[in-house]
Amino acid sequence: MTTTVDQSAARPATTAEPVLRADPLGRCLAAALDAADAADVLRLDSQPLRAAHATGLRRVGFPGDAYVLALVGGTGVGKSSLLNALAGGVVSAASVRRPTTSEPIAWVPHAEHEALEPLLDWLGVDETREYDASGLGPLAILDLPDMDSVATSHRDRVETLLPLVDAVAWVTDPEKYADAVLHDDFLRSWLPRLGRQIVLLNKADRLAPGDARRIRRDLEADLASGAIRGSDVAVLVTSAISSGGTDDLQAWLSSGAESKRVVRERIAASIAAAARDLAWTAGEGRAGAGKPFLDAATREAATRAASEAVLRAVDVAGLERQVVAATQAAARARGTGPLGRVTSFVYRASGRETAVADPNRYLLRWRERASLGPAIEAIREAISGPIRHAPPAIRPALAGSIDPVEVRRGLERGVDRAIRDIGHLEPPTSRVWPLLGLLQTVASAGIALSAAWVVVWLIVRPETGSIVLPVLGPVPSPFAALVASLLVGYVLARLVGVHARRLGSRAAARVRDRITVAVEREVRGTAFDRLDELDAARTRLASALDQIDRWCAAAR
Amino acid sequence: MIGTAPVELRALVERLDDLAARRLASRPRTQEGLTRARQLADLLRGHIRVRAASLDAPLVVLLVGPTGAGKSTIFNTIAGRSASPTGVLRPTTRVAIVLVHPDDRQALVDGAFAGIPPSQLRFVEDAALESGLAVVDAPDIDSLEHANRALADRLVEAADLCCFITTATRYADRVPWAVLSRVEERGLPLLVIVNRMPSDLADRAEILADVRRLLAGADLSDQLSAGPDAPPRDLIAVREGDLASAGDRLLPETVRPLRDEIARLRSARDARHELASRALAGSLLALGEGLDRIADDVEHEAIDVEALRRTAARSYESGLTAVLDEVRHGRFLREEALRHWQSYVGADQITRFFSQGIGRIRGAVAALVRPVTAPVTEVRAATTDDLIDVARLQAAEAARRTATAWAAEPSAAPTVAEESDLWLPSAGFDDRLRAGLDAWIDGIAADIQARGESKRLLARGASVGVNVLGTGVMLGTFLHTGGLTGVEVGVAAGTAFLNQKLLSALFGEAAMVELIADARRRLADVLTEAFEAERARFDAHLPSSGELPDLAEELRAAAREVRALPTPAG
Repeated sequence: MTTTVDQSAARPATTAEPVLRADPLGRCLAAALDAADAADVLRLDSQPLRAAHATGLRRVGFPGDAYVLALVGGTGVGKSSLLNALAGGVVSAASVRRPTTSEPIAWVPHAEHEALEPLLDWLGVDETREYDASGLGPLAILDLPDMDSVATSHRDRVETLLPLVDAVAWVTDPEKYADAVLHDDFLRSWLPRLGRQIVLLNKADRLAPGDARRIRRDLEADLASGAIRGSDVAVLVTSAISSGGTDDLQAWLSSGAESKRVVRERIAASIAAAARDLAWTAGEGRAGAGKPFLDAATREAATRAASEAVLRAVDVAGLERQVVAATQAAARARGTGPLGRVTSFVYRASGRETAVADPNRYLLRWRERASLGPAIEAIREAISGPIRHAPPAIRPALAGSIDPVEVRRGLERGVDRAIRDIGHLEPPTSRVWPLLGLLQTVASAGIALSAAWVVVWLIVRPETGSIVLPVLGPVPSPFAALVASLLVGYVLARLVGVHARRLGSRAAARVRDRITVAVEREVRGTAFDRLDELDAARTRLASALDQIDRWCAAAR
Repeated sequence: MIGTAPVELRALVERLDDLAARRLASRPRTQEGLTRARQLADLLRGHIRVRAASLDAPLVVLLVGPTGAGKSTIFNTIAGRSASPTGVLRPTTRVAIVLVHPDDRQALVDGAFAGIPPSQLRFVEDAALESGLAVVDAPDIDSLEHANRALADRLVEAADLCCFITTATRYADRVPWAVLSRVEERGLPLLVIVNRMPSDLADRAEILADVRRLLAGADLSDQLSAGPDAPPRDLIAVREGDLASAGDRLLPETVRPLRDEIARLRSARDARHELASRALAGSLLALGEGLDRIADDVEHEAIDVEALRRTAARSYESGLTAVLDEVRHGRFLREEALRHWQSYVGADQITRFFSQGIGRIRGAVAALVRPVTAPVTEVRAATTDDLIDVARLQAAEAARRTATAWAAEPSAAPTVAEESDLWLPSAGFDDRLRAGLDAWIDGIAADIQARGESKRLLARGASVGVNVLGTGVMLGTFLHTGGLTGVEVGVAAGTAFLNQKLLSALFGEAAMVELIADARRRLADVLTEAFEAERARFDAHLPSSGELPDLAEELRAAAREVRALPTPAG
């Protein structure tokens, strides 16, 4: 069965809006819209709820102080005869020919006729008959075409009108009361969507009194066995031809039916019913409905795994090496003698330094290194459980919440942000280095001088005894000086190296910690963005449904 | 003996039965399709098989109609006793009540009612009757007891004469007319009773005229006639309240035409034969039509099924393409693992394989002084793990795309709603792919050994080891590119360069390229197989590829054969 959407109803009657806000029905309608919006995020079918909302909004906008009751039933059950019996004259032509009534006929109180004109227009009812005040209450009765004959257009008409009318009298008879069409196609889906309604077992005149009672009980049992809400609908036995055959019906019609309330009841009932259907598809009320899709522990584990994978892709180990190398390069430039400066220059000029000792460049070019696939997969895998346990209708939205392309983009932006936050990485430096450099220069000078001394001593060969060659034990001094300054130079170079490495490692550890924290923060922030939206939508849906439960009930 | 069914028909029945069974087994995807398939099976079993075997089998006269129309009351009138309970509570009758001569009972159970569970049949035996004809009171066709409708539908397929009972209130109801349209399709001889008529003569005339109009509109005039070229029999109108004193049956006079017809059929075998062959001719006509319409159904389903299959195929194909793309560019390889490998291949004692002069000697010395171990396990584990992650991600994406598309198709939506696993990669995906990758790496090692036998490779490479070379080739499949020079010293490029130099030094350039190409092809096979297995989970929910088109073709062929049958002689 389809709910017909009246497109024109999508435009709310503006005059009704401010009045609506405060009262329960207004809140019920507003909550319906909320629920529909949330359902859209979850990719659930919000159409029935929206239609109920639009119809409701439209209905309260109509003037007139009467409600519309439709007579619905199969062909030949005596809808028209019943109306005629109520009216005490011919309102709608009854005949033995089936189906008899093909166009709805409205029977309206004289006083309300004019006011009801727009409403009847909206219902698409052209034929109207007036009646004078008769104690039936403020009531327009619609005699509808049948819904079970070979004329299928009649049934279409009934299905178009059912969402719009305020109350329904389901008419059946001893022959048709157990028909599948009546029960399966109409009562089951419409009883919960209506407020004021009654089931009439007509043609009681054909039955012995005891039989009427038995059939009525049987019908009541059928209604209850459908396990439908609203099965508490009453069954009345009527007859259009025996005297007093419509007394019960008249009593029901004239009792406690304030028209505004009937209209409210109907709107609230149809919204509540659509909301119930939605709640059922959304899995509200099932195990785990109130909790987020992803439990905190799984989420935390996935975030961690994804962060680790991102850090592996960024290659933090490589970054650390670069930091150490950069520190060493800086030390080489500042903490060494002339020779070191030459080496440093060569390294820089050849591009080797940029390649292995430039952490900033290394970090910025992280995209070139490895894919984020494993990281995305860690995130994706986290929603496996939720997908498996989600109600089928939610699965498309849930499975679609981790879109690899989108997650990749999110992670990439996150890593970029993390790198930007860390800022420029300056390799550490030390005041010791220039001092060591000075000493190294002195040592280099020593090496040079002692080497010169050795050369002079070897080449010039001064006569023995002409000068006194200082000796240190058995070794001539020039050699000793050379060896000593070489030794000093070596030790100084090692010292600078070791110191730089230590400084570098410490700096690298700091960089590692910072990027780890930054990446984890970013992953946490972006990985489950869409899932969080779904969670929020579900929470919103649940609370809107609660509101509907509460205010739509209050409106009735 | 007069009146036999064509011999050709008997030969056909077995095959048709088989076709009907296959059609039902193919799980018709629409309600109409299912109904047609059931009708075919029921018609074959309940009528055609019986009549093909013998026109002497007991005739089945069926009383059918909506709930509360008075079928049981009329049945009791014919039976002349309270055989079927009547009452005001609906539906009254929930089983088929069969009035039968004791001799005919077994023939019916084995024949026309062979497809009906015994619990749904109640036999009322009357030895005083003449044999050869059974009257059946069907349950209703339109109450909320759906089982009643199913049973009545089966009985319609098995009947030789249908007596349709409706009322002044009911006669324009849609559901009974749907049943009548099947009676029309089946070419079933028909009688119509309109019960509960008003006493007013003008009203009665108006109603009867309207019913006649509807019957003519439904093309049922032919079937209403008593025989070929005879005019349509008149409707039998029963006034409301014309009950006999017993209360559960009518005054016998009211349904006289029906009683006369039954009496005529009971008394004359020829008349029975004539009716039976008329009914059979109708059934065969309906059979031809039915087979063609079911073939249409099957063809439409085949198109739908192919569309679903294509959706799955496309999703998994694009997933596989994405993985192969990652593989080709080695993008999923971890820098860390590569660095391990680079520092190993770059170590002195390995570089000696591709160095000249001093480097070579230095390597030989280094090998003696400081042996290095290859990071085979680490590199393999890291590579396999990441490759599996990347593949699983794409498999999940393909599953999601397929399931989402299927969820939007009414015929497939229940499948993906019930099988939540279809939304995800299969549980065994990792294990299967890992096994595939392990076998792939082993295959590389075997390949190297096979090539090494004919060359001096093993002698040279012995110190390196087959596992190491296998790992080298494995990385080569991800990293090998034509134009690397080693100037760009990114780890991937550097590793590729060194790795390539090592491999080409050991195998020679040509053999290396071949090895790597082989390995790549085999890896693609492993991944393709893994994705195929994933896709097959969806395919398993569809009929196999040629099944439906074949079935449609066979149905059409059968329809042609049925049409070519000679009409049964009366």
